[in-house]
Amino acid sequence: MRRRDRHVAVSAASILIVALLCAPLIILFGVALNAGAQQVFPPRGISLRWFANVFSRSGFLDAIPFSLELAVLTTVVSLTIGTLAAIGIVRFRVPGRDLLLTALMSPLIVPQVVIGLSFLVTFTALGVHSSFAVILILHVTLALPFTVRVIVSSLARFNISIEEAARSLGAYPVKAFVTITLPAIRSGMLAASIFAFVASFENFTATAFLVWNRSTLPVEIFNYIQTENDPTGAAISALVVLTVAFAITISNRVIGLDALSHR
Amino acid sequence: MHRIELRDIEVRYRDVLALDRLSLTVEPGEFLALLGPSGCGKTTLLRVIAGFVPYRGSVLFDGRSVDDRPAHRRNIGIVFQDYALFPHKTVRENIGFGLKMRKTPRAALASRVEEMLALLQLDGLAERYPGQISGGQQQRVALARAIAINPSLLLLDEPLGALDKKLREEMQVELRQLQRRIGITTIFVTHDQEEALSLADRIAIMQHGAIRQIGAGADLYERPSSLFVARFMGQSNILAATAERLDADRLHCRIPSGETFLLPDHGKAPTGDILLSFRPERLRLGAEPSSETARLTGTIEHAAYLGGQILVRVRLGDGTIFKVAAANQGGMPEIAVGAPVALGFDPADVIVLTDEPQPGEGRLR
Repeated sequence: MRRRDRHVAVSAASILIVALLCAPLIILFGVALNAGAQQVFPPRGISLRWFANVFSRSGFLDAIPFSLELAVLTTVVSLTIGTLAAIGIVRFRVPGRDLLLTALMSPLIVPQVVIGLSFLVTFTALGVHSSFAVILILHVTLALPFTVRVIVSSLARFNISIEEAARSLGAYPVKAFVTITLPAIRSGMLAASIFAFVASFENFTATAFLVWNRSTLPVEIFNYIQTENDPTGAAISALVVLTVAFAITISNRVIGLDALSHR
Repeated sequence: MHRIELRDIEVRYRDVLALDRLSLTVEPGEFLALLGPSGCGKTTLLRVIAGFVPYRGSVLFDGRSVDDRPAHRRNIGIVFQDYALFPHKTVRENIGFGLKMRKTPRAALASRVEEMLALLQLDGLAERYPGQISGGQQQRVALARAIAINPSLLLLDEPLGALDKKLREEMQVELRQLQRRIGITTIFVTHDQEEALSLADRIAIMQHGAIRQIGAGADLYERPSSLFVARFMGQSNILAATAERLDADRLHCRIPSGETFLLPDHGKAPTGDILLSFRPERLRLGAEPSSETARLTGTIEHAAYLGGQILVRVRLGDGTIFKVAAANQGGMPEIAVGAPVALGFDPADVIVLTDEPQPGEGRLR
């Protein structure tokens, strides 16, 4: 191929990939905007009634705050555990360090069905009923591989002499870490929180094993489309996409994934 | 001004002995350079004093042990090789950080920071972030931040290493003037002997976790106590020789090519194997023998004209290569490659060493 042809081919391939990534989203929004009760694309007539319908269903009204609370707590807990684990892994020669890292990463490899089932079996055997706390533990387990990975790599790249400088200037070790190191690796912390939040908020497979009379949003959406055939499912999904995109954009502006442009 | 004393400092990293029962005293207000090749333990020693590495032995400030004080309670100002400025804090916040940790009242903190900004000519940069100022300015901020806390001791870890040559020379002068003005005891780590010579009151030469020799720069250069120091400080031409006998304060030496000299007595090894070190700038090309000078003979192998001086490589009779730095004073004999040449020297300039000529000498465990 001549250079120009190659250029055209690469562009075409890129456009195709982007189109494939965007198509489901476009169709989702299209279906959600239907005026009629059928899930069709392109929509027949434009209306926001299915968005409004989301907020009239008690199932969604319960699942939305439930999922948000879970995601926020999962983020806080997994960020805390992830940071402590990362300090151990990066800063100290902890015995069994590789084993620890492998254990923390294992939820990425083990199928979610297996994780969900094993949680169910274990907690049942212990006589513990499903609850917010049980699902929180599950979600923290699922989020940890992401937070640990990201924080370990941020911390490993962080120049330790900056923290030592703080200590030499009179900051005791924890204070030096909190006032100097954490802000300096804040873009990594932000990325880790986004991963943790999303890992919790969108999880369906493993969570489905543990819901009881309360359920998370993805499970609730699944339950809904089992019985109903209108575009409400598409509408709530579109809302989720918008919320996540909005949250990422705002946190990126405020804290900045690339906020360390001034080194 | 504080006196710093180190007693029998030992640091071990697993099987490696990083510092080997090292003792050292730094006088109040003194500027001491720790000089040595990489891996000699100089940075480890700095980290021991700062309280960043566990060690055996004792660190004393004015006779009082600080061993049980962690890094944040030692009151030491450190300038790191890469400056280690806080990237998310402004120049002003960087300089004020140590005072803030000491809970200095706001007004006192602000005025001290202003004083530092003025002292290090950082006016106008106070609100910038470290990433927005030049390397030389970052260096000054790091220095200001270290001095702002009025430390008992200033530790500098190759602070000029990241600067280009011209800026480095300017900063050397600035650093030395600043150190004198505030009269702070300072320990400076470097692997650059010129930097050590131009800055320090005394230089400690380190190798394998121990101090090989300590003294003023001129002492180390003129009177190195070992082959390692002779080689490390400047250039040396080393010649193995045999001390045959000592009579009337004259040491009779024979070199392998058979020539003999009379050297002033250096108080070492009256007989046996010795090493003679000749500095390249103390050798004279084509000198006629006289009562004042002795000479070696060889052939010219290579000559490089460097303007102010001419560097000549001479092969002696036994194959040893000698480097000669001849000052370009005009009227010099023609230097022709392959031509026989005599190298004249003053016997008083020859350094007598008793080390075994083995690389990597020293105690290894």
